[in-house]
Amino acid sequence: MNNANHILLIDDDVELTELLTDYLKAEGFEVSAAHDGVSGLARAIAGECAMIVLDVMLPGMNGLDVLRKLRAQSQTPVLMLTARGDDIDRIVGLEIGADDYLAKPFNARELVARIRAVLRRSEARKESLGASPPEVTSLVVGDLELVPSSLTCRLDGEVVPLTAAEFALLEVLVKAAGKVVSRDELSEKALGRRLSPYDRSLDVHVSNVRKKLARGSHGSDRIKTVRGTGYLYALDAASGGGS
Amino acid sequence: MKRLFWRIFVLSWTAMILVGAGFSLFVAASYPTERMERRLQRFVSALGLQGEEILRVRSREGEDAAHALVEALASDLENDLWLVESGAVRLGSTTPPAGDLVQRLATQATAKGYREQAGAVEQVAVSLRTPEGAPSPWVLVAVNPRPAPLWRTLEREAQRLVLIVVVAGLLSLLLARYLSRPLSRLREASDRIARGDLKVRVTPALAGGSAEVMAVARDFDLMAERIEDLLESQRRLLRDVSHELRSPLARLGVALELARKRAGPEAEGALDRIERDSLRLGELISEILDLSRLETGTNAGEVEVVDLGALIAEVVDDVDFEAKGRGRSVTLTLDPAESLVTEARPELIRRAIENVLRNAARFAPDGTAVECTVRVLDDGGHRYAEVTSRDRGPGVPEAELAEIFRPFYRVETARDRNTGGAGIGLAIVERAVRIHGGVVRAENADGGGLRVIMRLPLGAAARTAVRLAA
Repeated sequence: MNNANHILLIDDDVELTELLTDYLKAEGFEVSAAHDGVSGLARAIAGECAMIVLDVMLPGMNGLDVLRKLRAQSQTPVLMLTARGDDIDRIVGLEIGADDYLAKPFNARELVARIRAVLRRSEARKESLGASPPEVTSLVVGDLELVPSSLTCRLDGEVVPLTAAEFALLEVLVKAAGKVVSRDELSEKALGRRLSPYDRSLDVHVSNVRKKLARGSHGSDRIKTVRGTGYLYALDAASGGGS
Repeated sequence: MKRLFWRIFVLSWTAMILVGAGFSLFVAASYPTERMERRLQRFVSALGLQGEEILRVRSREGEDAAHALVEALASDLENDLWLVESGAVRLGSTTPPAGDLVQRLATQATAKGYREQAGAVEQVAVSLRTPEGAPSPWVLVAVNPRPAPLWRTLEREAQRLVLIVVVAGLLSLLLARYLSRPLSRLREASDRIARGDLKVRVTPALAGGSAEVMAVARDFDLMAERIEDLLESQRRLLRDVSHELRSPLARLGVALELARKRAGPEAEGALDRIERDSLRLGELISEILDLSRLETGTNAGEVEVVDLGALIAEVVDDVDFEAKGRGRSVTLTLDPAESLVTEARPELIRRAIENVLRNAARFAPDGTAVECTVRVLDDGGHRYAEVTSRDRGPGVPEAELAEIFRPFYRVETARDRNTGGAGIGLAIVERAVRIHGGVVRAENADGGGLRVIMRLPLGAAARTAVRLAA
């Protein structure tokens, strides 16, 4: 990654990418753009950017395919632009490793805030990766083991594939296991940004983590929703496997 | 439909019975006068020939053979027979009756047969000829000892009547079915169209029907096809236009922020105005797309086990946050002990409840609260979650309460134009709730304000409903 402020825009709307380039440059980013999936993927894999803003609807190869191919080779953070209300797109996008999503048409200030949050998170991860010795950082609660240095999650010794955002979220919940974590706190700690009304990305992430962890457990929900407050990693469910 | 069927059935049945009974009465009335007479004459001349045959057998094979023949003949004809020679009974199927009935008849005998009626009993005497054809002193007397009694005649008539009734009934049934079936098919089809299933066609179901029926069926199908095409093209147009509007709107948003950066503070007010309206446009477009997705049944989100209580609490928080900015609030009344865990499409439910509450918050006067209440109802073993929203706004005229769930319906009087109308938010609510097997309705609350009541099934009913509506 040459430049920590370099953003790659992949969107077929040329006029929009021009406007965004102007806007993001004014915000202090370096910007390049690709207008179809294939060339976008090539530029992304070349690894000259710190982050990618990827539109789902692209001619040729669609955004989800680009993301899937990219994730096979690179962990460069990705923010997806989805059609508003297209739940499937954003759920699938987050599942296959997008770091965040934003519905189109979006507010440009919101886009910048999201980009900064994602970049901050990935910086923090890189620093912790470099700083801490790997053997100390294993986190074990019941049958669940988290290794932050390698983003590995094991359930009963079996590896559960989690995306970076999902891992961050589970890590916050597990560190506070048995205690309720409010939605605001969870969003700030795990996603690096404040929660705004009608923003469902947190819930989508939680729902994805639940689905992935449901495998192997006996139907009990590890991550409980506490009405009107937040989420809780249940200790009884975690230790229930042993008793 | 049943009514038409029964009417045709009863009418044709009655007509057939009347015709059948009338015809048999006519036959019965005209039968004795001519045909009975002719039959009797044939019977008598046959009797003469038979008598001569008996005489021949008697002279050739003897008394016993003749006697056997007489008995066989008597049982064949169901008559008593006697052979009389010059007033003396020589042979008979039974002993002659007391008195001189047989002798008296014998004296009256003629070659063509003498006939006499005693009540219902027919008595016949035929004088016989020798084998050579000469007149002989022999006479054959036949008496019908078992006349058809009255009850037997009646019984035969009754049997015939029952037969007519049964056959006529069967025929009428077929006729009524044949005539009413196309109509009932058409009725079913138009019913389904009325319920929104525009894929119905009747021509295949009515194939082989009469020309008139087929013509109606073809017209019907043509009509259904046209309605389907029109609706589909209208939906497609709306959807495509909305899609196409999204890109310029996205550009507008970015351009707006750029303009904000470059313009001085005096442009701020106008730019805010542009931002508000482009936001509103964006919302409207996404609502149109949501609705079109709901109507085509695509992309309705996944079915999950959801705690409705938690979901509603989140929505109330969000709407409350938004409404606070405009001096209104949203409160939630929910019994935390009630289990509201069910299978649902959470995104749809969320949007439904959000739309209802945001709509209420929009029309609520400043300083008031929108009350959201969640209750669990038990309706004969079926559990429902009843989610009610109540605002203190102007309400909706009674006559238009059902209409507000129609897309783009505007209540002309009370709800003011500046608020942007209900748009299609409530239409989305209606479809989302229906997909979950629930119902939604609106009413004006006592003391003013609109109350919107959503009933969502919980448990097994929810599971089947939400899985069926894919």
